[in-house]
Amino acid sequence: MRAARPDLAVISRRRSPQGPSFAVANPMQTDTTIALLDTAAAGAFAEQQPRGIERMMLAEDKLPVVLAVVLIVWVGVLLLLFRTERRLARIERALDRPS
Amino acid sequence: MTPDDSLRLPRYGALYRAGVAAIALWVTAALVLGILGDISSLPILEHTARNLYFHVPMWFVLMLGWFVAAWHSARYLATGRRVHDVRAEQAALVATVFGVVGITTGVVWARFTWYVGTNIWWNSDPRQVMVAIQLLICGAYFVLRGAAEGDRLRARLAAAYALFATATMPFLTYVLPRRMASLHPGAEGNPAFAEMDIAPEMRWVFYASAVGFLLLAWWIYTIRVRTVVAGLRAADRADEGGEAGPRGHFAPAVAAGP
Repeated sequence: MRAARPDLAVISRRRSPQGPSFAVANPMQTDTTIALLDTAAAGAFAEQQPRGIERMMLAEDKLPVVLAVVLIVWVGVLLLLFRTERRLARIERALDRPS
Repeated sequence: MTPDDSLRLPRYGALYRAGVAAIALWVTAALVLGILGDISSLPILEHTARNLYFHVPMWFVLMLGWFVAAWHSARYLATGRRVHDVRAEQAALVATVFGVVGITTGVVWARFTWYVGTNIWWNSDPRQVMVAIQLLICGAYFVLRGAAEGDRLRARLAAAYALFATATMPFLTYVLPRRMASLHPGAEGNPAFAEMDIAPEMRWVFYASAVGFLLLAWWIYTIRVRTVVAGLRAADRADEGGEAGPRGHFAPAVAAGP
């Protein structure tokens, strides 16, 4: 029976006469992956008022996004510098020991 | 003078580690202020006015780095201590890399502001052309180092050349460009970064960024100097121990006697 097989139940819902799920009017209920590829659905997302972190990141022509990217790059560079320095300090200590 | 004496460096202890942590925070603050801070909104420039904070400090590093290289080159010629040769080379290297970054960022900046729509990447702005000449003069220093055989000869030739390369720097990057029409502030003899050239809200971020990048360059320079010195000390130790172990590229080019 269909009710006992959940996988079959999903297939039957996709084939329902209401059409594919991404045609649903409310964009929040659509499949996100398809919505991002579909410019009309993406526009429907953008029309909503930004909330939470989006309100911060979309301010000033999305400049905070640039800052986020630059800071991630900078943290990577800093990690490399600090780790190189520590490794070097170990080598210097080894050289200071009398051979 | 023992070989170790001529390679002696200051101690890079707790004070140094606290200092570089402060530099990391300082540059981070300069990045945040530089990207998010208020700018004077000008036509043509728009948000690229922020490049002032990142492009111009590269030139400060080029100039100051080469003055440090010239100082240690002169000290090498006076004392013959190897550590001055190492310091001169590494200061020149860090400074030149920042200079190359500076000219590249300048090309990109100009292409999408004053030269937008023209498809001109390289323009004949006098400061750009003269700084390119200066970078070639700087680059020749490393060619010379690579070509000279023998540690002492290489160090002495390079030290003398570094003095020449630094002597041309003020003229090619500062004096001559100011006597010609240029996109850069300071053209036609007026002082750069005067009230008319930089908005008050941008001035302090610019100063902070310039100091931050100079300190960052110093940090990288100390790491490189310490690495080369450690390599030389390891090579000396291998020589003393009579080991015929593998030599790094820091080792003297001339083999020690027959």
